[in-house]
Amino acid sequence: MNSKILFIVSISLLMLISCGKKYTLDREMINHSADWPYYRGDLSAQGSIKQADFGGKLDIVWEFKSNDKPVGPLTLYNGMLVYPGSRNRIKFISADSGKYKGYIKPRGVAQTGLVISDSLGYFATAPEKSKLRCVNMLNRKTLWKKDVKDAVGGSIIIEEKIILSSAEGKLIAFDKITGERLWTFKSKERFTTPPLFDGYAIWQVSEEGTLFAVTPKDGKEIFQVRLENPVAASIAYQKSIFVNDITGIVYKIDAQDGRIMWQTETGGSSWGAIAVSESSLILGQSSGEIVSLSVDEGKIIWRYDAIDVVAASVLMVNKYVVFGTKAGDFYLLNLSDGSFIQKRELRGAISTAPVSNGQYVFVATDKGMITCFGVRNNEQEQTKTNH
Amino acid sequence: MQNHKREMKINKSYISFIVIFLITVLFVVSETHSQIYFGKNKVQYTDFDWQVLETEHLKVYFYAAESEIASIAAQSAEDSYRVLAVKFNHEVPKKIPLIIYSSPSYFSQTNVIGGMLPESVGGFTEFMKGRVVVPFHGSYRDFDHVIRHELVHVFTISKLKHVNSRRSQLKYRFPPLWFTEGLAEFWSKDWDTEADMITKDMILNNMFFPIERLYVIRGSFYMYKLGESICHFIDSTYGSDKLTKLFDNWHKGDNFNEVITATLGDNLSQLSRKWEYALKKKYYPELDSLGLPDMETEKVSHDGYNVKGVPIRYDDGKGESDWIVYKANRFGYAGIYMRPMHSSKKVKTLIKGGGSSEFESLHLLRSGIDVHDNQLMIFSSKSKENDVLYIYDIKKEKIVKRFEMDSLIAVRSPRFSHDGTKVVFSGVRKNGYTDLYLLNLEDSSYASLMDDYYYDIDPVFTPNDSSIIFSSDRGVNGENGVINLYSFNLLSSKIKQRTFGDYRDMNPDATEDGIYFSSNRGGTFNLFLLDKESKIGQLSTFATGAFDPRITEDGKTLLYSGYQKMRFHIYSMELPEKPKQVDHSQIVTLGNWKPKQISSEMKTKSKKYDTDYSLDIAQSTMNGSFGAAQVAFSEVLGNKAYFLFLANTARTKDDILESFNVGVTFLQREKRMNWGLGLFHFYDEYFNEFDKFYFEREAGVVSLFRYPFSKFHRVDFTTQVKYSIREITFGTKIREKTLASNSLSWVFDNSLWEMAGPIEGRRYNFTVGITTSLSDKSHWNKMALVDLRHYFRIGRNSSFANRLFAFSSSGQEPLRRYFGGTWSFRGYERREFYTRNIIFSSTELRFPLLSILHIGFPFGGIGFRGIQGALFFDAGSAWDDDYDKLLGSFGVGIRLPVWNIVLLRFDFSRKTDFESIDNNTEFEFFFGRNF
Repeated sequence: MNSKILFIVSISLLMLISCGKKYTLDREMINHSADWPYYRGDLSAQGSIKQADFGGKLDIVWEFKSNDKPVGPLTLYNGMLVYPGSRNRIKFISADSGKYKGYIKPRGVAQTGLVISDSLGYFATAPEKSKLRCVNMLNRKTLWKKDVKDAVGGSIIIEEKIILSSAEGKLIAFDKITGERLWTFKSKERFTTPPLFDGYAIWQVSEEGTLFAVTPKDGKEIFQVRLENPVAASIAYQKSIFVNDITGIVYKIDAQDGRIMWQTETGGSSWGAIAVSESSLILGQSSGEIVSLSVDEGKIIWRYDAIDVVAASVLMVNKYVVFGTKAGDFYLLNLSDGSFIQKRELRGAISTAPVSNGQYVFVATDKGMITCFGVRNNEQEQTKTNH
Repeated sequence: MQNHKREMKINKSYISFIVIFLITVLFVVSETHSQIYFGKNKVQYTDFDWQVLETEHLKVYFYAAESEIASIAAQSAEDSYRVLAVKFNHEVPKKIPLIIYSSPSYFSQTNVIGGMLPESVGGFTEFMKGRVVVPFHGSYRDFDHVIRHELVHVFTISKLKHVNSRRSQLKYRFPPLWFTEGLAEFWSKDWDTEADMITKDMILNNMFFPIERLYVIRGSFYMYKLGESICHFIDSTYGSDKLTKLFDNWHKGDNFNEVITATLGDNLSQLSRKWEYALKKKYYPELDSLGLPDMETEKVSHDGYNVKGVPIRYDDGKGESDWIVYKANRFGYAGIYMRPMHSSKKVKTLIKGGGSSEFESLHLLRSGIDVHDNQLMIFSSKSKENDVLYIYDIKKEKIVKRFEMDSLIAVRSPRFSHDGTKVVFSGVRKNGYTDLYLLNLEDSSYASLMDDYYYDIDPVFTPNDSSIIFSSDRGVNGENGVINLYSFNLLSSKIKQRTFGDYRDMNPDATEDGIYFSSNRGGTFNLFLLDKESKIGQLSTFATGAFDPRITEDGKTLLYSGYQKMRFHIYSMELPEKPKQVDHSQIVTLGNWKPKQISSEMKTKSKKYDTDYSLDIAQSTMNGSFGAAQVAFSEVLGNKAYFLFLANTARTKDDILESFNVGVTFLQREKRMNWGLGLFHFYDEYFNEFDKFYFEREAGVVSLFRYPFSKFHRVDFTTQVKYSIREITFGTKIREKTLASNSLSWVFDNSLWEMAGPIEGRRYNFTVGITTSLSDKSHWNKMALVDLRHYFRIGRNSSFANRLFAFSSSGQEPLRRYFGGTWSFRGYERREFYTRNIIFSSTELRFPLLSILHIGFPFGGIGFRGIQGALFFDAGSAWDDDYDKLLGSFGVGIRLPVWNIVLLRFDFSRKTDFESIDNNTEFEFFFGRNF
């Protein structure tokens, strides 16, 4: 073989090798719990981090650009940012540096965020494939897969069960190790939001506006609450369930007996979930308004008009509120009075909720740009990576 | 006769590159590709002074004369943008180009799309560049509705693109037309009386189209309304979030049915059944208290679509009797007809619209007509750019007067004064505003009665000619579409409101009894009488709709346009003795609103328009055995465009540089004279039956000028100077010349088309051309061509078509044409003749064979609609030097339209030399329209 051909073959091989980097979990990570393992961060989907040291600035710490656009929510797992991409890959990025770490192939378009528990990763794929998969993150092998038609949002793990809902109106629990189906709760109504858990019951809202309380042990219905309109999202907080419907009405429901404690019309349609803290609830609306309500009475505390469509859920970090718009603007407001602090213009619409590890906030755009915001110290230089 | 039958494989013909090059030019100038050397003309009567106004989300293109309308459009579009951003949960990433015209007449001159725009088009969104083009018709409610309707399309395209891009989906599916148009209607206005009328009529008259059969009415107004009804049903039954979620779920299905199923839980079939059931439950009970026009009154008209009936007394030689004069679309174009009111005698055609520049369009629904006691009829028609008023003498059966209004672009619904000296009409100024005008018939002078931005229509004189009664949106809630009746005192010029409430009171007819009018009081358009005591009595209780009331001379019979069974017809009814009184509270609210204009804070920029080019198309094509690239750029208004063509025909790598085939064309269509200029260099091996194989290199410049006299006729002038060298084999020259060619064509086309081809009208093309050799200053060739086609309609779907074609060329290197085959001389092989002299005639009887043919297969089926038959006889001769003999052929053909896109042609023919008939039956199959 002459040297020219050898050179070309070598370069080709190098290119092939560097094209893809399959990801496996470091063994040392296995026993660490995830910072943000679930959709909205925790089992109750509160969308807030209270014990945080986020400094209230939107300095760009790093940016990551990928052709694999995020199609589901971000997950934070022990310093790793994970998201399902449009090219049928689940990607891993270092949350510290924005460096690309690798991918696993979900064999289908991932429709839910990735949930990682111990060394196992769970995600569901979109119709056509419609499977819930459990992947051993140590070797990327599929441990088991189960049919789940049109899974919604994200799964939750309670007492060794992985529980998720499907659009056809089913709430299903599987054994998280074996994949055995443990129970199914069936409704005639359709589900389009993920379930949540308040430490006592699993809560699932239907499109038609019914809130179901179900036992985690065997999937039996405890009670149901009928609301007026199709529901956008729900969260659990301090023995209450907060629900916002698509017309912008927010309900506070007693988790013990299903009684509606208050309801408030916020005056605009909303598609994302509420974020909640001790004193206030924050809701983003399609009209571009961010509305803050008091937790106790549901009174409107303040409004901020971002003008452009807010479709993704808002996030509370420390004393701040962050949210993105479909026009690609990322805002930072004061939680106490809704006053404007800072805005960043990003490339691409923001359709998925931002996540935070307490110190930094991470947000993805539909153009495949993932950005880490926070207070950049002198040692940190903004990094920009592409993949 | 010489027979140059081809023996070898087809190579590129002599003019292949030139054709590609010129067709590109002509394609965008002419109406359609199949009509390149015929075709109607889009005439740029006005040279617009374009400006651009930029807002947060829009770039509004307008001309100086309509700056107020543009400002209103910008505000309306910005308001709509905000509403739709919420409904779609989406932001359009780029500023939306919105092009505004102040009238439908100016709108019809737009070059944003190439084809002719039918008068019924209220606006459109061009999908390639997302341009929205909207004319102002006079009504702010309709303007707002159309702008929002088109923006729904922009959001739909953008949202689907966004969802697909986010999922990296390569397969780009688009929702069915009924859904996109239905959604655009649903999200652009409330459910209104017109939508209710269309849907209810279909249900009550068993003419309903479930979702799986909506393809039958694809693209029609009926489809829009049923689509709107489906979206309304989804929203109210499945939830108001579902239409938004449907787009977010786009990736969840391979087709629309799967996306619907994933979103609603029901598939399209289940959705359709539930929707139909809900409509039946809603509308059937209405028949308890309401009736249908053809069951309760006498139907006077019968064929087609009939409106605006006027009762007259007429003596047809057998004594005076009741007749009606009315507008109708009976055969695919609007006309004015008259017929006896109570007998089925033959209909008399007074005016035939759509076939000449005098009567380009009679505005079937938008403008009424009137007949005075002296048997003079007045009507408006589009004539070239503007509307004109015509007076037609019914006795003399001819136009006796024509009035042109230089300051008005449109003229609608003229009415005579009772003394016959004046005419009142609704006129549209060039800035788009609609006011009432008074025309003095004696000196042809005209003057406006008011000068404001309200929409003033349907004027009529009171019996003593002292006042005008008219409809207007000048009252409270006028900006939301409320129309009431008003009177204008001709002495004091004072305007007084006559009817009140949030209704649409239209088509008034003032009589001694009071004012008859049509109104949607009660939820359906019915007929009412406003008496002298200002009380309103209801005259009809139809479930569908009644419009245009006109009272007969004896005051006993009411003529009206009734809607039923998806058609308008003229009906007559006896006046009820005691009309039921309806509530009529009077709240005088004149002129208390103004259309909202964009504020200066919302304008980000406003400037004179400079050209803004962007890519139209970039594609690689096969050009013979070589690949070729085609690129087209045009500016946002479509007036100027560049076309680039690049190919290489090199056979060895040493030939690459000299084998580039390049064509660059510039087109200018901004003004009435369209012109194009191109440069080209072509080199390739060619073949024709006369010269056989040869190489030719051509380089030169070509220009095209087109001047349309009207929509129907024009002249084309083409000139070309080229250097041409021909070689038999490499290096063996057979000639080297610099040639200058000029050709001049006069083209006329007023043909009316149906799916299979022209069915009525005429098409002419006279062309002469001459080529001179500049190298030796000698005459090179000359050419003359005549192509005459006549289509005589003998029934609704039948016609008798004739074609006469002659071609002759002479000179040192005469031009030759291929002839023969299904598109020219049937029975003979395609390209059987290649000669410089041709004479040919074709006669064809076209008639309907089967209205529907459905062929079933185990896996499904295929259906054809409107299958036509043809009997034809062709005769002709083609020769080079000496005339040989006349040949002929005759036979039958079948024409099968497939999805209204492709026409399959099957011809069976036998040849004849007029002494004997060939025993063999030739069969030919091809795609394409009739000649």
